[in-house]
Amino acid sequence: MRGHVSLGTHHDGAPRPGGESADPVLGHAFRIRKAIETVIEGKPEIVRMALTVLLAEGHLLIEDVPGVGKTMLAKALGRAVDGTVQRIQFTPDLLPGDITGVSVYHQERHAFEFSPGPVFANIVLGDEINRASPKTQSALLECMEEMQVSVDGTARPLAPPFMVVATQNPGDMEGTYPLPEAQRDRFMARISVGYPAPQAELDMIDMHSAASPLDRLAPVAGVADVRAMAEYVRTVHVAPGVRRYVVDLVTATRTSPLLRLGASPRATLHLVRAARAYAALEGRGYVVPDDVQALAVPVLAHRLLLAPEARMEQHTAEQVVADLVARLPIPAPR
Amino acid sequence: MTSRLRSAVLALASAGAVLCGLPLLAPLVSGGDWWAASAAVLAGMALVGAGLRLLPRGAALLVPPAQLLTALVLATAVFAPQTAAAGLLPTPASLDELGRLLSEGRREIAANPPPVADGAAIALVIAAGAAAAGLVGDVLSVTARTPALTGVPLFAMLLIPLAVDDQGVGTGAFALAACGYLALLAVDGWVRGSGWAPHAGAAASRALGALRHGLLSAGVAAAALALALLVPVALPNLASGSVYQMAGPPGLDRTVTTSHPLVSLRHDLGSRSDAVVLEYTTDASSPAYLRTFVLDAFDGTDWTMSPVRLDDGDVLDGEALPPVPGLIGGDHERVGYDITLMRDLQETAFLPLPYPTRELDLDGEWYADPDSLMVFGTSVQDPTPEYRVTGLDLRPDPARLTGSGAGSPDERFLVVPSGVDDRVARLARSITEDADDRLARAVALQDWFTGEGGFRYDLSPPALPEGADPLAHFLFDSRVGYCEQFAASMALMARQLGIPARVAVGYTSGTRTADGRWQVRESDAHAWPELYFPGQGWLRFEPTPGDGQGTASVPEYASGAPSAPSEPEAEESPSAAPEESEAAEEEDGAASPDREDTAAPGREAPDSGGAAPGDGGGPWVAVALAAAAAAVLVLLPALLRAVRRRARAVRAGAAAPAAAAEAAWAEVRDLCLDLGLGWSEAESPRAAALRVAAAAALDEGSAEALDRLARAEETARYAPEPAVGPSLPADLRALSVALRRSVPPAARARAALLPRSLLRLPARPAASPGSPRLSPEGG
Repeated sequence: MRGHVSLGTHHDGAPRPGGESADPVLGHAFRIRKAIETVIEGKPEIVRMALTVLLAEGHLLIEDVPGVGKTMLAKALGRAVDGTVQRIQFTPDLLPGDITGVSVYHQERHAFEFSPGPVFANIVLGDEINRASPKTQSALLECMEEMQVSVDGTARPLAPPFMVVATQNPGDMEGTYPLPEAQRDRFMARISVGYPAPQAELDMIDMHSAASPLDRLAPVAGVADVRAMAEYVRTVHVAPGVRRYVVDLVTATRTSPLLRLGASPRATLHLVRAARAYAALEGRGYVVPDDVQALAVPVLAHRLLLAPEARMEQHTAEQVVADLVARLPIPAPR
Repeated sequence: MTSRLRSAVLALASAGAVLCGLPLLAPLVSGGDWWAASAAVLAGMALVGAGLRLLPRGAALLVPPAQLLTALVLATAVFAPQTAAAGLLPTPASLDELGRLLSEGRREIAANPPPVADGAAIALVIAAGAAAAGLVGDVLSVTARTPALTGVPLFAMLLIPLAVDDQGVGTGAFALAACGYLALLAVDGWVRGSGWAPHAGAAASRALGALRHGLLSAGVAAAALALALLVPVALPNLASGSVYQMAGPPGLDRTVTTSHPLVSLRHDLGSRSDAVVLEYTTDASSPAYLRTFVLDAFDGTDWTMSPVRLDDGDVLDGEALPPVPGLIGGDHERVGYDITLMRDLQETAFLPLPYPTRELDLDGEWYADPDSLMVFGTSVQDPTPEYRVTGLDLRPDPARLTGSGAGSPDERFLVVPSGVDDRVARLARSITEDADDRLARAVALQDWFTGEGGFRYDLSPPALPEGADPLAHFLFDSRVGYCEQFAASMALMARQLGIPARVAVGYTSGTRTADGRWQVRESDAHAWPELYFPGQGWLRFEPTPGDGQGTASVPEYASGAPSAPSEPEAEESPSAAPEESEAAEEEDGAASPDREDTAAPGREAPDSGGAAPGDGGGPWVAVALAAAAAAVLVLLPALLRAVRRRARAVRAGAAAPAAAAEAAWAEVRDLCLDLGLGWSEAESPRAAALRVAAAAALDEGSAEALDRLARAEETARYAPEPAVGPSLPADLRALSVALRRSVPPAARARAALLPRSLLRLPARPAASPGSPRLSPEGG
């Protein structure tokens, strides 16, 4: 991943002493990350990205082979913030109502009564979303976009924080309906968990031999804390130069000859919001280009379509975005 | 394209640029194949340089020695194969042979005015010069990555023909050299541009970017060239004048360095040829000598011409020439001459004219030097003009020339450099000890040369012994020579006696033909002294023995016994002259502007040596100035860089936080560029700090200083309020020291002398501006 920059403080995640500490993010974020890392060993980047998306009020798409801890991540995240977690296993016969809930006729009251589906939760884990039919997929995606559920003409809002963590097996596996690009655009970021390093895998054996570490995970923050953190993230300063940089970067994906489809304006908004959260997680009250650079691949790559030639030449969208980041001049001094 | 391949391409382009500059030297050599050897040497050096650069890193340091060796081997193979091992490997014998050829070439160049005839020796000299230019060009273009500076050796190749030859270089040669240079710049731009796209895929956009980059740099250079060519045209005064910084006098040695008309004439001074130079008709029974030019400066060995002042006012717009210097009272007979030149004038030419000329009827743009009344043109169209001249037949009354009072048009006509043998001054005094006025002394000198001195006229004087002073040898040992030596010696001795003197060069009056015309032949070429007499101006004398120059004649006032000083008229004259002078000036305010009215009699001892500081020191001052200019030129980049560094250090310490951080960070950037640590516009301050700290292996303290500088810049750029610590200047200093220490000394020296940051081209954003703008979110 070219252009990806390791930032000075985030490896340990410790709050910088004497930093700009007037924000509610740093302390909570540190504890949440530590808590999740007791479950997800050796993947601080992934934890950090998940938290970034949570604070930026986006949704996360995790794409990887089965068994690398995608579900574990979502569950750990939900438990750490003491939110409600619902898991939906997507299967080919899953119906939209199975997600949103249905109106059921109540015999005693002679009225229809809404029975909320699993989407009414703080963290909704959509497992193997690409196994369901497109119709069912779009039901979830509509909830993600609207932050509400419409059943029988009644809109029912979803309470924040609301975050969908969808997992997806790579498209070349059997029996899947890969998400169309318009649907992928609704996810703020896509990450791959990847196989753990040998040492981390060794540790994992020890850890899972006794009880599940997930059971031992105690909440370290509340839903209200998450709301406050998200509120703060909206106020993080984005200098005009950085805004320009984001627009330049998104524009570059649209003009690149290697790409058939560039990033959408929604991608621009997502990138700025994610960068704000990313900066806040570092305890910084302003966004720097490094935040944008670090987020460019996860936030942009899954929305892009390679041109046929580029596909023939074995390029990947991640590569193309990384190249653009490596070449695009950073905002010049004011 | 890898960086090695880029370097190799650049090396070839640099050699190509020097190769394209070779035709600039064409005016120096007449015909022949001199260029083939130079081209072969350059091509060989280019291949070796490019090949070495394809090898892994470090081989670049071997390039200059390897190229030198290549040049030597090729030169051996071309010029001394018979003495070389296997026909091309240098041996002591072949090196001797090359050395011999080189010195022979130098002698040939010294002995002949350009263009010199082609030959092995000349070809070797040029090949050596080309090899040097190629070597310097390669180092500048590739090793130092400053291809623009390769223009310096190219410029040198352009200057050589301009300096030694008035003809200048051909348009084609100049255009070719310029194209080669522009091509080098374009290649450099292309190479820089192609370095941009790191990924192999973006072939189309990369090629476009490279092309744009190349065109941009070449375009800027082309515009500069066009300006350089057009500006002198727009300012005509710059175009003339400098041409006249020439030397090449009829001195006593045989060194010739210019193609000044003097050179050809000087050749005539020893000529026995009967070729007719010019013809004229005149009413005068004894026509004047036809003077071409005047040598007014003596440097200890040679008489040379001071640079002619060329003012607009000196253009002959009518027929009349400037007033005759020093001549007072104007009752002289006018004599007309109709002169037809038979031999081609060069483009820059002096006209043979009787002295003093009053009027000249000739088309074209001609200039007259007010001091000497020399007439010359710089762009002669008609090579064999006919012209009508009106001169004055000066028949001064000897009685009025006796005044020993001084009065000189200019101090320079009395200058005697300090290196002259003391015996010459003593000899001059002993010859003239019986003479008590200026004319008598002058005549005594002249008569000593023609008579009692026992001189013999010979056009082929014996060779000068090694190391001998030519003047002393002529006066005290051999006493054999021709007009040059006589004129030069008498003029010098006259100066030592306090009489302003100079040497005139031209032709005698020639011989009268049966049909009444006068013919002047090459064998009539002559040199003679002119001495200055107050009230009369410059008068010629004839020290060359009469049996020598067949058509020479002694002027009336200088022949026969000196007039008796006791005659009444003679007594009056010293006092009468100033009165007349004032009267004359009232009538004609422009008369004799150079004359010193206040000159006191006998103001200077004749043998005081006259070591005028401005004259003897001339060449050394020039050399020192040139050296200083060269030093300034070499140090100019370092100076510019130092000024910039200083300004930033001040700003980093004193300016507002944001500006201070920016100044400090800009200095960090330039420091990294200078030291070859690299810089990318796509790198954020903290990313750059991490990379540089790793690349330079900075210790903890310096790395922290760098980190603080980066954070300061980051907040200055992106935070609502810049957070800049007070340690900025100290951090910057510590970091500079640490970074410099992290690179090898050679890189440090290059960073100091050729700071690459000065040439940094601003990178352009990859995205096109004008894309839809993001409406700012709250926050």
